Amino acid sequence: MPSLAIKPLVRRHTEIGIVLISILLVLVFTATSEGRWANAYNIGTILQVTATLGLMSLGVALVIGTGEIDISVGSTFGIAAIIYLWLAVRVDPALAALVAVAAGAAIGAFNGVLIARTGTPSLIVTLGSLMIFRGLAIALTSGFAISIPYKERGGFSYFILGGDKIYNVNTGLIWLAAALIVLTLMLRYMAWGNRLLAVGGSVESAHSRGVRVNRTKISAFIICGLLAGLGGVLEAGKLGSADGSMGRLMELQAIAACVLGGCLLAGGRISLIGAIMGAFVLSSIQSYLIVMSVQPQWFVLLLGVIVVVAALGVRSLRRWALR
Amino acid sequence: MMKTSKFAVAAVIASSLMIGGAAVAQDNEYRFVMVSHIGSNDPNMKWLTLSLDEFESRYPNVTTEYISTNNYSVQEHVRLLEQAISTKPDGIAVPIVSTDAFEGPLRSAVEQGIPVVAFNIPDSRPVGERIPYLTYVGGDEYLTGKKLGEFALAEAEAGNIPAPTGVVCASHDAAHQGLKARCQGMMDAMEGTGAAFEELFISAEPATARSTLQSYLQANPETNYIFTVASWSSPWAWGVANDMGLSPDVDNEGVTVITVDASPVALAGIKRGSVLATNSQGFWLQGYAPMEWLYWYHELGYEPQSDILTGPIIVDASNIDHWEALVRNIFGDAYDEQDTW
Repeated sequence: MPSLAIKPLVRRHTEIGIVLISILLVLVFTATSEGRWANAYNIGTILQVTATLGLMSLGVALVIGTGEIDISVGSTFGIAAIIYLWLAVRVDPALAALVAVAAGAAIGAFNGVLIARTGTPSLIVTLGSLMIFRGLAIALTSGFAISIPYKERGGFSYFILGGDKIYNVNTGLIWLAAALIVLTLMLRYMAWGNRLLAVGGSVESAHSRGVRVNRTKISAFIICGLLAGLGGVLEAGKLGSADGSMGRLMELQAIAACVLGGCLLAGGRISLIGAIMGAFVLSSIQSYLIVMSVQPQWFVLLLGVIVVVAALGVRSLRRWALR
Repeated sequence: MMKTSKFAVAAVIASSLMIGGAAVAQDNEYRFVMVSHIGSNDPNMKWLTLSLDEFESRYPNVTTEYISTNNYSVQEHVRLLEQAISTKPDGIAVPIVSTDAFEGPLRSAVEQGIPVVAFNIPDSRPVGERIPYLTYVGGDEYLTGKKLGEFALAEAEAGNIPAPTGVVCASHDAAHQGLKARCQGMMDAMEGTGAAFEELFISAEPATARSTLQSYLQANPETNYIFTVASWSSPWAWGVANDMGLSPDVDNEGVTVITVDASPVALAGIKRGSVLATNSQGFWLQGYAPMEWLYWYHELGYEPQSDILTGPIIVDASNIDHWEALVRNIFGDAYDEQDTW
């Protein structure tokens, strides 16, 4: 009987699967790690990683919602981090952050315009962007890091931009919560939200109903770049250092987080909270493998296996609910 | 009589306390974590993991853990470090790859009472300003160049190689402070010999490096010592000099090649008589000694008052067989694959 009551809930809310997986993993990790995983310091670390990866995942979820994909977000993240740190020692860090986030949005606009105006598949365009901006990050840093000494990272701007903690939780989490609230409101209460999912559901249908498909797609890419840039700023704020490798491979994690969180890669269906929960699950699994001292040669393999098992679990749950 | 019996009782109590104390010491269990920048895709990892295995076998009450990533970035390294700190180990050994990125987490670890030992890469700032770690265990880049230079001069004095007339320090990274320090050490060693000295950026790309070196040697015919600050560029230097007919083998004429690191390519160069000498920075000790200091810190309260240098150790034709056997044991099949001569 209780299972029958859950079914409609799972059908309505795509993120239920990842929430249940998260709960299960938290219980398993807590029970098997002898306090190494479930402690305040580690949870704080996991939430910091979730904050930056989650911001990136929110943006990727929007793009996925339109039926496109953005695999350049890791490079956007890296470029924004470098711009932020380079500027933060020259101007106020808040202004530096604004410029870095704007640069992220500009990269998103570059991707969006190219995809919308030329009809080139987003995978190809953003693969090109991934390489262009990763190459630029490496060239700008010449193999070295741009950094700000620990003792010089004081003041409110650094504090709020991921440079410190409140009750053991990095301030980056505030930005993730704010982005989630704003985007949820936009998706639910603005025509833009309906248009976004309509474009992902069926471009032809959306077009026939007067939706400006290209404009909608470009806007999704811009927000995606902006959020990846913000993630880069927050990560740079925490580390105080950025090199050409910053954000490398995070694009794959962001896409995995979205899929785990119930976003349909074909478009038309996304879950913002699901994407964030996906980011939390990925960060938690990574952390568990580290604190359990898994050897580096097995780390990626085990991470992949756990992610696949989690994805299968989410999918099975949804199939069961739809039966 | 009374006095004697009192003494006997005191002796029994003292000895039982001592035995008890020893038992307590034996029962102390520790977990030390090495958060490294060397992943399993680098054969050098085995220097460290084998040394940790050896440490565990000698100290059964200590568990060591090796944490690293095959997808290295400072961002990932800091993440590993923070998660290692969260497990509240009894000690951490870590290379200070980025002072700015590592200072926050490491200060937090020290504040939590976790002793830290830096290995392989120190915080290069003065002691009062640097991250408050117990000590640094590792090599010294400046001394690497200086000792190799002094060794070459001794060989020249013994008549085994020509005296220096011009020395070029061939570096693949013009801004790398560690490589610059190696060149500086070599330059200081050559001071007073009258030999010209120049630091030359050759790049890490083989074709560019070779043409740059060739142009330099043509323009500076007095150059007879080539110091490559990465071992993989030593075959390039030898090849260019050989093509130019400059007799680069180790003998009393022509050009002499000197390199760094106890890597297969450097050792193979010495073995075939193409490289005069290289150095080891005592990599095995960089895994073992940090664990030992963390152990002694807990058991005895010892705190070293200076950095602990594990190198440079000069490797040349006289001890090449020993070093080849040692490094083959670490690298296994990869040894021959890395011999690019």
